[in-house]
Amino acid sequence: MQRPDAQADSDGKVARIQVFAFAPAVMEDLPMPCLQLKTGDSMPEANILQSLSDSDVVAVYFEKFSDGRGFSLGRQLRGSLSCDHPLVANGHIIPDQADYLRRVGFSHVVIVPETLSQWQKSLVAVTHRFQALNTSPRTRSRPRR
Amino acid sequence: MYKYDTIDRDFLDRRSAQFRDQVARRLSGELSEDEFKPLRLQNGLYLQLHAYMLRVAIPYGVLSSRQLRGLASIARDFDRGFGHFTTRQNIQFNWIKLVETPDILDRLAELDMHAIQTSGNCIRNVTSDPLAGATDDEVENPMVWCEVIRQWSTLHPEFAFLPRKFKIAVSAGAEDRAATGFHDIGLRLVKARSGEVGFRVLVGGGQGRTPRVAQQLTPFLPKKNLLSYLEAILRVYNVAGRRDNIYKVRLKILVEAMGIEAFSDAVNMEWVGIRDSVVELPLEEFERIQRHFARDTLPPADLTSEILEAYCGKGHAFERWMRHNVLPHYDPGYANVCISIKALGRPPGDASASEMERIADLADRYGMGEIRFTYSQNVVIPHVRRDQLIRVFEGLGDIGLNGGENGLIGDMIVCPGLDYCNLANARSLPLADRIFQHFADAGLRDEIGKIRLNISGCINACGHHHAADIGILGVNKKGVENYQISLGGRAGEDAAVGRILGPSFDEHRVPDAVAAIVGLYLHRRKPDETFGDAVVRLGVDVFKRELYAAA
Repeated sequence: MQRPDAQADSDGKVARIQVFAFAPAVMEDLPMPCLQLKTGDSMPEANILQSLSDSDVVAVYFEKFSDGRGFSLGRQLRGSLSCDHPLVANGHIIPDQADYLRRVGFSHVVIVPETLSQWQKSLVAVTHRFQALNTSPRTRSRPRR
Repeated sequence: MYKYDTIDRDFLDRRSAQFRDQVARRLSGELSEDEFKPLRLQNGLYLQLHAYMLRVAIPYGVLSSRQLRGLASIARDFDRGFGHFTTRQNIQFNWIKLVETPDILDRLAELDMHAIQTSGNCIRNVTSDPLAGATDDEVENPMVWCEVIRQWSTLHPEFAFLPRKFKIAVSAGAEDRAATGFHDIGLRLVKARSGEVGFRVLVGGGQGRTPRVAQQLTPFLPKKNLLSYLEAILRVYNVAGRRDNIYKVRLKILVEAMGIEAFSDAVNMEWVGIRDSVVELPLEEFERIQRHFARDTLPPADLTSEILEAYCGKGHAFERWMRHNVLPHYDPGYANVCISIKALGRPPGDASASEMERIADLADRYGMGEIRFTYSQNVVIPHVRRDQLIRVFEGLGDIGLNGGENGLIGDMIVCPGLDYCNLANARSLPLADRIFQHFADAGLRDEIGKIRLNISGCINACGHHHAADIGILGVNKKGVENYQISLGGRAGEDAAVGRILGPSFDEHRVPDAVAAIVGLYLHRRKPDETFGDAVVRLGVDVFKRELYAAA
């Protein structure tokens, strides 16, 4: 897969995501060490914090696109868990969810390459914001903007 | 009322274009039906028994005369000349073609309207008191908060794929006219002893297969924390709500399974991380919204009217209409007119395009150009000068709409039933007509007084039978349509789920059964005691014995 568009700090760890990118790849290609979660996962905060410190990237697997638990997981990772890693969505997700994924804190999605243009189109189809979210300083927005 | 600006309009244009693209991708096969379904549902589009149905959002039941005329034209151009007012203050068009839907959405956008989140597993259109901002019994105008919630919930990225639909109602009146106790979240604006206004928050209410009255989550939530608290509740539901069993996916099931205290703990754990954060609504944005709902300056109205005096006290139909359909206003020189669109031979909630246009005309001429839809599928014209009421009565008479009685036995909430719905077990509309005919005597209806009789064609309870004084539920008994009767439900204050009386009846026997129940009430009631209060005092078993002794 394409490496996440990220900056590395002095000791080489991924420090900051610059933009939302699309990564046409399969799960096995994710950079390691990778913390792999799936929608519905809930683990004690201490465990997840330890796992985050041992990982360069976090991936959330969506078993079904209509299972919205992954969106809350994204926000929890970016919010109370202060996760600043590349956050990758994979599994059954559809292009129409692109902007939702980005806004709850995902920085990357794993897609089928042929759908790339639709993903890019969907990402900018509706860009209005009616909520301010605390997913990270980069995705914070003001209402109606 | 809230007026759209360029940001709101640009949003609707883009959303409409997005849905046009999604429809094209579905028609080309790029999107599977499984993938397209939630997208179309979140744009209000259902597939019903005979055709597609489009549910249009009327935010908290408020619309302008211009918007109502626009809906009338859509009914003419894309439906069969009718619209259907729903119990959640929306309007539905029942004969829609899929390929025409994007055009309808464009037409709606021209009216500053849409169908976003009127269905699907997301936060639905917030509902409220149809008299909001026009009555003197409210703590403050709840529409301001409805609009705040409407905007916050619109395309909320975290809550677009919830376990199931999610309904919020806001009420601020001494009387709960928004059925907050039967919503996933019910918000009651209350004033603390200190004078501070906040929200009493109820959770876990709902009807359907497992009817539950909402429980109190907190007695007082500061207004400034509303959005973070809603997000915390929604997150707990989104993460912990069941998704494995369609009958157990609503918030009421989660609240019951966890217990209200454990649910409260879970909400507070989420809340502590986002309370007073960027999630809260900025004060300047609140004030921007609030300005849209400032009270209009009403021209002084004459409190004494020769016209009213000429008709009242003489048994004229106008006097009856005044008694049942004219509701108090905060200004004694004004009133709120409730138009009950229930009548023999017409599906409750249905209105024709020409009726909608006439109501819009009356709202322009005698009101402030504003119309409200009610929980009971009726229409309210707020802010009518009392000395103009006779003109409204006559104007409604021109289209046969001044005979409906708000709150009497004919003012039923009735779902479409087996005639139109692919979920129903039994027909609802013909049964409503039978009951209507049985109580054709206006004097008898007056004598019975306030009573709510609701009919649902199946356990999904779209006709709100659980929340009715007399609830009627269609059931399938060995292939035959039958009806179960329940008693003692309430939607407002002291919300309660009705209790099933016993074995069901066939459609021919239901009117007599209702008459037996009502007859006992008339025989045993105390002076000025309503049907609902009599059921509480006497107990359901008294009525049960009478009913089955007669049967």
